[in-house]
Amino acid sequence: MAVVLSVLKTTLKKGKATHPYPRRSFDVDEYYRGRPVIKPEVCMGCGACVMACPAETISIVNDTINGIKTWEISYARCIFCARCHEVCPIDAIKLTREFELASKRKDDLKMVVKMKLARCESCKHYMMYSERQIMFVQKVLKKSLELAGAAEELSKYTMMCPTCKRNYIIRKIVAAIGGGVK
Amino acid sequence: MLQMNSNNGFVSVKEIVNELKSSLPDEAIIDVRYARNNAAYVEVAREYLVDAVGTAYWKLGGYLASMIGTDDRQRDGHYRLYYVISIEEQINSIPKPWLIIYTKIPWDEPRFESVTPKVPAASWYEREVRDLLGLEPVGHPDPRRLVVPDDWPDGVYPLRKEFKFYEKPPRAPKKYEFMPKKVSEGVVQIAFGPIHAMSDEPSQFRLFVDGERIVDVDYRMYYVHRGIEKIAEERFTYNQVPFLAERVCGICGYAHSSAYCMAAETALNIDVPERAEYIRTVMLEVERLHSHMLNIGIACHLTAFDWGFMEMFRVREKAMKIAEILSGGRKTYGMNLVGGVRRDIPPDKAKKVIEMLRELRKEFKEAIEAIFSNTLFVRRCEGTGILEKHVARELSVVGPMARGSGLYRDIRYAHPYAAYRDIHVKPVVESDGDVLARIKVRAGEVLDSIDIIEHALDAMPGGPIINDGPYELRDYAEGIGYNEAPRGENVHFVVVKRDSRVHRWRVRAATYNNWPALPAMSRGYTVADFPLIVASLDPCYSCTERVIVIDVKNRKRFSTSYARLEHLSRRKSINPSASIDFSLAS
Repeated sequence: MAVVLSVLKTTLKKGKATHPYPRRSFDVDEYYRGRPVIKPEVCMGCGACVMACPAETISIVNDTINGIKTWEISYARCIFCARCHEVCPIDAIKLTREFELASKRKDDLKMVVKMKLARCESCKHYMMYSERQIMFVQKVLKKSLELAGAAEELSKYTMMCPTCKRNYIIRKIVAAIGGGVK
Repeated sequence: MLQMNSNNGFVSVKEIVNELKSSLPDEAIIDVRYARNNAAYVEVAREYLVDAVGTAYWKLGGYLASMIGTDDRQRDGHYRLYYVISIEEQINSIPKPWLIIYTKIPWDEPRFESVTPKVPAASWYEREVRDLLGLEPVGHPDPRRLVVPDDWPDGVYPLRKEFKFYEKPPRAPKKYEFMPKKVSEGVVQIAFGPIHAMSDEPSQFRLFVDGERIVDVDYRMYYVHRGIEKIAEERFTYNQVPFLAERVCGICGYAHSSAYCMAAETALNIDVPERAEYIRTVMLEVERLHSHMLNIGIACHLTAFDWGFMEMFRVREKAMKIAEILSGGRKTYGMNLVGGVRRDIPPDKAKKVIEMLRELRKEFKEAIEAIFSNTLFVRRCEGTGILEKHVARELSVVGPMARGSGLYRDIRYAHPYAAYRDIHVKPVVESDGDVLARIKVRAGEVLDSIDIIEHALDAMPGGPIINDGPYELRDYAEGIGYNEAPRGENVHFVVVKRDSRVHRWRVRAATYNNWPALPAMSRGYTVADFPLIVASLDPCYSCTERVIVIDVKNRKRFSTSYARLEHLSRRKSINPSASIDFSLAS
């Protein structure tokens, strides 16, 4: 009898606890860690997030023929750990509080960013870096005080593909020694 | 309840090793190496393995915490077997010593003498080593497979280094036979599972029944063996594994990831900032809160006391909300990295959590009082599924199972880690060993956990939350990590290499030590008791589909639905094997 009374008392006091979820939206906490979203206008495609992602859901593909770098995330594999947000050097990934991802089309779970690849200044081929990446490197070089003198020379290197860079340096060394290159 | 730290009368692991040395011949012990956390790695000759483990287990008062086989053929042409033993009895000082007895097995002679006849707790571990590494435990009483599927070909061993994680060997004919300990006339087999409830993994039970009484239980598990250890070895670096580790379990994920992190930190000699250790402690206790409440709710559900189930889940929702505030997700995932944690607990969050805890404590106390004042519920659980203390000791049972059977075992108390070095925990122990005792242990621990969280949030030191290196990586650096998950201790063992790859990672979840006790718990009870007994082991309850009843003699088979079994369990009001005054239970 005592049980019945205490059960009744609690039940009447607390009322209905079930949330009518799909009919009414569910408010998550302000600290909730939802799906990460890319800011396409900021991302430079450095790939830090690709390396850090434990679920291997972010990928980067360089198309050096058409000059396009494609960054892609698939939320189907995303585990909402926010490692990408943590490692991004330029805060290009924004965390949201979204958690409702269900969809009938698989493509809805994808987010793709395309950016231009930079051209090598000497051979005019596309390099594996995006234009924004090179701008970022040049900015870092400028800020670096120790390199103040060499910064200009070094930022020249940033605009060359690895092969041209190698040739350029070899030429410089040979010129310094005083020989000739055919 | 809580006591502040006082470490006097410390027994070092050196004394334990000397004791072990004195009871074995001189040539038995080859090498001794001391490590962090009061641990010693003792290499014994292969011929003396059984003696060494037996002595440590029975004479020195040890419990088998884990056993690991590694494929070190590329390192020095051997396999290694590590028996991780926690020396707990007869020692009053804290932290208690860890004894890790290991032996080398030459690559061309993959055999060792089984420890199981002397230490029954080693049974599963040795079967697993046989399945995954092809090391034959000579003299093991159970020749059947444990881990690899029934149609797995002979001679293919997944954890050997030449086997790649994406390989799919051809199927072989199935072979597996359920067997009771004793075969007798008129015993009927009931298949229970494999797709069913009450555990993280689908597992098939075979109940041998005489009438309605269970004579024996046999089981077949590992239907969802995901090869997580293999994936970690081949694809992950040591700092990515925490995200995989927390997916070992759906409920105690945080316990697994922090046990892994602790193992890696021990291996690489990384010091974790104090604040990170406090945050880990808070998270571990939050996990215990919601897990224990879930289990108490399920016990109510299985005894047809659905109000208790609903009320527990309503109260539990607060614990889930706390987890959401602290970790950013209801499942306490994504918090750990090797070296510390990723999310801080700022004062405003802490304040909010403490307020919620106050409400939670009040509501939980009211609910549990109502549940325990329900005589029908109490009588149904009383005297059901008794696990004798000596059986629990033999099988190294852990967690609320061990504490419900009167064993004074709690890894937070025996081997304090993280903030438990400052906050002492006194284990909640009940001596009856039945389902009710286990529920009482869990209820007591919920209240303790609330105290611990409040205390840890209050006393949390300042400073950084992560020590992100650079770390000094060594080749074949070994470390063990452990913590008290809601179901008992989780023990992780990891070997890291210099290229930041994981050479071997061994996960030992709490339930691994508890399952082998199931036959001993179920013998003599009825089929309707079985779901309650399994649930009191605290596996997850999700999706039992159906039960097949097989009459062995006539080869007849008929099915009953899961709903019918659940109904049987719920309809049964009291346990007739307990002495009850029926006049009260009307």
